[in-house]
Amino acid sequence: VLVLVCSPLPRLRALLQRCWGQLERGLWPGVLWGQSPPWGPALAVQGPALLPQGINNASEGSTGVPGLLESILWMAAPKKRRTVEVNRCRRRHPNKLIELKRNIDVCPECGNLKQKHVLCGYCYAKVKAETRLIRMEIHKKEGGPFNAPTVETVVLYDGEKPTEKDEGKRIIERARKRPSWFVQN
Amino acid sequence: SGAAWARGLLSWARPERWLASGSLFPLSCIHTSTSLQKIGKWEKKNRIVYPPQLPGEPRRPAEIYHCRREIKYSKDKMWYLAKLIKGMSIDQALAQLEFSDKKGAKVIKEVLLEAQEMAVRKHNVEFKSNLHIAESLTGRGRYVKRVRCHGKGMFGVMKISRCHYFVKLVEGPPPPPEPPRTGFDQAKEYVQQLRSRTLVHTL
Repeated sequence: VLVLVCSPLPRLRALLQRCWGQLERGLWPGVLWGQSPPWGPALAVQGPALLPQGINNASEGSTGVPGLLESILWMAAPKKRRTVEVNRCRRRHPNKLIELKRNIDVCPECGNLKQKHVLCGYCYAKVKAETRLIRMEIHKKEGGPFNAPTVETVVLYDGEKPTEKDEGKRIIERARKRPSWFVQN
Repeated sequence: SGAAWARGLLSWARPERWLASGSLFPLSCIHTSTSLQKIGKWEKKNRIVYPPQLPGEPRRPAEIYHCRREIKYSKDKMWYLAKLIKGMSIDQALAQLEFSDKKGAKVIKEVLLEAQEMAVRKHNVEFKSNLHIAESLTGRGRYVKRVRCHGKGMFGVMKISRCHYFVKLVEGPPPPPEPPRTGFDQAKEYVQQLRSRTLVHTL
């Protein structure tokens, strides 16, 4: 596996230089340089009450909706660094700690631990393995896809004979002793 | 036979055979730690040997220190699991970790089982269930910086964090949990402090 690791410094420098250039050229007018804003009357003069341009300005000023570029100044940003004590209080609050689980019991079949509302993992794995072998036998008998018969299936283990109830059912043989958990009807 | 003699000579002169364990004389007692890096402090705690106890002393409970280094997980996230099992008996801790959904739970479970087996085999612990977790800590492992690609050709630097996990098992039932401090206890302590004041810089 080829891992590409390039030193980020020249790229970061290039990015910062680009941003600085944009600022200097005035492409971010929202960021002021510490001086007073460029607008505002330098000289008070008696003139007409509203200039032809003044209606639009007045309406804009009364609603006070800033444009997209000015709204950068009003974005939420942290004022102070969060101290490690404050961080610890938040991270170690009891609602962030892991809760103790009280729904763990012992499985009566195998003795492993299990959750109350969930099947025992060990017993499930056991049954899953046996089911897989039965399915392999079925696959061998059927030979291909779409060959499932329309009758029921009965699984018989070593030394078991099909009873009269199993007339007409498909019989799957498994070459081992019947497991204790697989009850025969 | 000449070729065999030459081959024998050359096999003796192989350089890697000399530098096998960092020393030219295989029978000397010089140990140079080339293969095992630095043995950490937590691992060395298992090596302390106490003097034999006198007949009247109460039995010192066995202490087993175990750790796992450079686990690929964050130390802050691992800390929550370490805090969960602090002070529990080992069986209860294993039960909680088995059904926890966190990635570190599997690792800590393996560490606890290893420590339990170590306790029974080497540290003379009689019953493997008679252990409780006295301390469980996490530490920062070695971090590695990598590049994380964002859109528009931008990139950031991400750090791949690893952690260590330390556990100390002590023989015996777990200690009873401390009762929470009430206002009455705090008031009693305050009054005690006031009463224990003395006059300073006087006759």
